[in-house]
Amino acid sequence: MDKKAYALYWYMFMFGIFLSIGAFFYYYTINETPVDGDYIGHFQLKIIKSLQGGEKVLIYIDQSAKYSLQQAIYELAKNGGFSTVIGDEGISFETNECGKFNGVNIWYKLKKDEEGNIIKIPCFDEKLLADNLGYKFDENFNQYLINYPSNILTNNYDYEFKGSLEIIGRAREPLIFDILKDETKAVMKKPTEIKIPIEFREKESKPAEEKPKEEIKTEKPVEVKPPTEAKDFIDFTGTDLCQKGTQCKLTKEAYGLLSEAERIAKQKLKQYGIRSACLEREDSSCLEVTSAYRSIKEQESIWKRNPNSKMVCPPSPKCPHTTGNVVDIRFDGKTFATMTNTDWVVLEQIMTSVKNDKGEIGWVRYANEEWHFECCGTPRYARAKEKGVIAIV
Amino acid sequence: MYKMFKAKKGFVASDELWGLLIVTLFFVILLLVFSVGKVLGLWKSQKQVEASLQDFTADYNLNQFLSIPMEENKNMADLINERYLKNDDRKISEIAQQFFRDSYTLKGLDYDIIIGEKSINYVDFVNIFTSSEILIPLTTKEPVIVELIVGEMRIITVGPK
Repeated sequence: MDKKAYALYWYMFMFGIFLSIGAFFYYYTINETPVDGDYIGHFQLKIIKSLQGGEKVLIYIDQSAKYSLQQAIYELAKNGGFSTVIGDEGISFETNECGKFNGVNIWYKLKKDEEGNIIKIPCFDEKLLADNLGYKFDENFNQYLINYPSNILTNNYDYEFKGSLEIIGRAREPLIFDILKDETKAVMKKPTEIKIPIEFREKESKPAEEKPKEEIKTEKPVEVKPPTEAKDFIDFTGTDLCQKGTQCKLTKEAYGLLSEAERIAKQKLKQYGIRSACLEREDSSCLEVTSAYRSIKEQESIWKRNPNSKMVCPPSPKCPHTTGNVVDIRFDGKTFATMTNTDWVVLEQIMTSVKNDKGEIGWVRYANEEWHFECCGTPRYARAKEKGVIAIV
Repeated sequence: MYKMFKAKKGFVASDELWGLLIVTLFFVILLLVFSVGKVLGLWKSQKQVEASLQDFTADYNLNQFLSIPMEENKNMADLINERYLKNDDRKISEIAQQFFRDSYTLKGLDYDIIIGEKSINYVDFVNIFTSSEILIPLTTKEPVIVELIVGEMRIITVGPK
């Protein structure tokens, strides 16, 4: 081999060396593994870190509870121990039946009896003070929870009053943390399928048949549990379609109809020239569900806060929301107070223009509430369909 | 010698020996380079574990800091609420200095507590080892960010993200 050929070897050698150094720099410098990369102990450390993340949320909740109680005491004292109850849909009513005098709640009414004696009629029921405090506390506490950037469920606590001013709150639903998700990145959650046991409703049309007396066994008292059936639900809590701080679950069928309503809403809002942020972003929803499926316990909790049968259904499997086929809904970015009459009319048009698989009306409205829609065979839906109306009491 | 090797059967021709040597040398160097790379990779993993542990330590310290009991059934978070609304964080800095100086997990490091409505832009800091932030509520119902920054503090500018 001549000298020129040797030189070629050296060139190749030098080229190879540069190539390998280049590859080295690429893999270890430019192509740097991110800090949260896949290294030994990565998952374990994530678990430990999420523990502190949980602690952070609990600190926020504890502090919020403390300030909420202070604020509730102040507001209650200012209002003479009465609370102005605001329903889920923003309608408020006074709890004091005696009313107010010069803006101040009346504690006693003086009346003359037949003999002319003055009788003092108390208006203030001290037994209700704890309930009123609980109501005010919850109202303030929910506001704090809504202001937290990530989704903490509101109306999620059962309260127990201890002593004079101690409230113990027990969460019905746990706080859930996605350990492997980077919490600093806002990722829109996706609806997930779940199964929920639903209590059967008592059949209203057919009264239970009376059994012959001899068939009734009286030997052992057996605890009768209402029969349950596991239904397929879609949990869309934390998605754009669900109000922040609210738990949103619907039956598969109802969720399908809601998705269809959302699709129609985008078209209708454009058609009517109603301004909404959802029209600017493809992944943003035009509708917002403020309440969907409620367990009996949740219904009980709502009832405790506002035990008014005109506004809240007394807890039982008969309550429409416990079927998972009912939504309280409004336009995204609006509150029940800011929804105009036109908005409600358009919303009704959207919901009632949805058709189910059989080509029948998808949603019908509860005539007393502009925001309340039912579907999929609830008694109210069945009655409305039978009468051929889109809204029914 | 050279000629002898060239002439004998079964031996490698000497003019090809140089080529073989160069290729062998190349592979040896390549092996060395990637071995160093492997070691560097492991070292980087270790650094990542250390960084994660530092994050955890910062989180832990910050959570503990906010729970420090203060006078009249209050804690540090309450004091932050009061002082933040009064726009006076002198006492908080004082307590923070004391608390973190005594924390053995942060020994030998600089630290600072920053309170604000928005996160701090880390890019403007130099040599931040780790940081931890937590939201605490104010009595106005708005949350405020309390941020613990650990590292060699040489703040150039501080601005919201």
